Amino acid sequence: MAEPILRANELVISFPAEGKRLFAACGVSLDIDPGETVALVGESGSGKTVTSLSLLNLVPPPGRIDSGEVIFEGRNLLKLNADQMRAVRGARMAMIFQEPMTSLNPVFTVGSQVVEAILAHESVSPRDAWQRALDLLKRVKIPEAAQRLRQYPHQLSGGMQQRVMIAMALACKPVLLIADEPTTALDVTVQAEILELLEGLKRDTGMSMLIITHDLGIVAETAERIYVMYAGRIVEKCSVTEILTHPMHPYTAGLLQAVPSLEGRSGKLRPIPGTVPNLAAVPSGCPFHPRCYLADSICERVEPPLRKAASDHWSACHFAESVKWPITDSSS
Amino acid sequence: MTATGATAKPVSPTRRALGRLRRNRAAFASAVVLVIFYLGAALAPFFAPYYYDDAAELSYCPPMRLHFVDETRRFRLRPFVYRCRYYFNQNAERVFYEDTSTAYPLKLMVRHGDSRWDYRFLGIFKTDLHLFGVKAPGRIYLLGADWMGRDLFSRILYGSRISLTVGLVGVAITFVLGMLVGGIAGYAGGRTDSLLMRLCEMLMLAPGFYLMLALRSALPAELPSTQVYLLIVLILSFIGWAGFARVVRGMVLSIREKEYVLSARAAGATRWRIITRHILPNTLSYAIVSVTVSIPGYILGETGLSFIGLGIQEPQASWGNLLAEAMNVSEIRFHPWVLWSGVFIFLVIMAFNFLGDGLRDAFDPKSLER
Repeated sequence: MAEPILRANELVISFPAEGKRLFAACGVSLDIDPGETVALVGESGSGKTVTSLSLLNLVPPPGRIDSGEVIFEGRNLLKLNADQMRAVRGARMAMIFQEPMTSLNPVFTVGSQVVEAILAHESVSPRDAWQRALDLLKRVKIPEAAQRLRQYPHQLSGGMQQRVMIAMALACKPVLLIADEPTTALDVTVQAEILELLEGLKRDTGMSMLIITHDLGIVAETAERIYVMYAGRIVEKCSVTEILTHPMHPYTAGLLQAVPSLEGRSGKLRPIPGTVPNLAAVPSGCPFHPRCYLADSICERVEPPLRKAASDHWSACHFAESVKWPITDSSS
Repeated sequence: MTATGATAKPVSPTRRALGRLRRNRAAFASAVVLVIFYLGAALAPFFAPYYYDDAAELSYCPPMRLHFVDETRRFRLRPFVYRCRYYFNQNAERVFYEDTSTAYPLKLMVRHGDSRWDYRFLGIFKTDLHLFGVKAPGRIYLLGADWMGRDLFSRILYGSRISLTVGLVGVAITFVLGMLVGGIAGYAGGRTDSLLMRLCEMLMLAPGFYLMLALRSALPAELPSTQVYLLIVLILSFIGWAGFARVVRGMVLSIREKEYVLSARAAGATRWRIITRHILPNTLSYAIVSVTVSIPGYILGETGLSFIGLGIQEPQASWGNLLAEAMNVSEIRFHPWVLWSGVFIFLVIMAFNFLGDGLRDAFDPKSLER
């Protein structure tokens, strides 16, 4: 197997609160192979955004990465100094965000921002940079690109703005693109276009992608492998086809159950009872046990480790093998 | 709203704000007044009939009237002034009267032919051309003369060069300093922030004018006029930047949380670049307004210092030390025209305030545009 392009080992990320430290990620490990699309899935508050930010060492203060390492292209990013880190950001590893309308600076034209993304890492003449910005906009399929370059972000639709963000992210040909909920703020039809665009760009450039989302539909369409996150922990990892057919964690099964389907799937559409635990009060043992239909006394006491439950399928559940999907009505 | 179509002409936010500004009559009129004043200051030696230090024996000559009809009741197209003479009355006061036997027609584009009063036009070439004047030995005093018989109009024009630029230069320094300190404090946060802000607060604690006096008196009193000018500017901006920096810092605090800042960081932009390219430009609309509104403070600061004799020194003219002549009530009673510089100060301050208000409304995103 090829060396992964990025490997995060046992990341622990915490935020201070009222004298304690709250752990947004406790021991998250993930790896991404070259040219692979990996999805990081979880509900709001499960720590997926903070984890993705930590890969670029951008955890917002007062949060901090307590331990762990991020190995990217043979270097531990968390050990780099500010300048070295800056040289990685945008150039080797780029990121796009959930809200395209707020991710663009309102006071500059689209063109000047794309040009800036180029000039941040390469010394080319402003004229060449402008030409490249034009090419980039064409590559992300923005019509009338030359004119768009001269416009301000507020003159573009959300989908167009996200395309601009993608163009900026691709400006320096990164090998890894992190997309944090790239389509959440967009209309469904636009979502499909953006996903298609990302997919095409990935094929053309051979870069790897990490898609952070809570939408399993997006995962099914784009990703090859999936990590499911819950309360700052990876609770399941496997291939996407595997997860859609045999989830081995009750939480994943619950997530799947909550996805509406047009195919008349057996079992009702039903939400997972309860809510994501507050970081200040993560339940003992398995953090999911209060919401879990399989929970037993052991779940309250012992936190299950992420273990290999089947070939190429890891799950952090004491009863991984008993997870059934679709969840039948008799279980509650 | 502008159209969002690709064919729509991009209108920058600044452009639109300026359009709004133009529709504000008071602000527009103020802008016109200020342009006139600053033009007057730039071309002062040309507009002024005399050099600021060109004294004559007509001490406190009152403002002269321009005549069009001469003593024979004949209308003359070219306005003229009569020669000004005086006698002493029984109280030993000078009484001025117009000597109608000698008339000096007003001439445009005159030269005095006296190399003492040569000046450099816009600092480029040497000339002694003046917009208007009368033939020597006649003198023209449109706004009267001061105690040395110097033309008040000329002195006000020359004085405006100091009084009007003090505001701009001072504000420019304040602007750069305030943006820098506010930007760094707001973006860096933590200890840097506390340190810089406490420094600002210490400066703001001291009452401005006293701090100004203290600073001025701590420095040598006898200095060449250019150095005094610089000193005043520095003192004024030294006092002024703190408040501005604090507000900029506050805005930076909110702007740095914006997603485009995070995305700039994720794109590998340097800290310096993030502050100068992403954060500070977003404070600009506020900053410009704030700075415009604070210009009058600088003008008044200089005027105040010069008024009490700590600023620009005679024979140099500034609006402040011109007004200092009006410190004495009897002066005002006998020669009220020494108050003219006060009128100009008033006009400029009003104009800047109206313009500042107009700018604030124009740049306020909440102001509705129909």
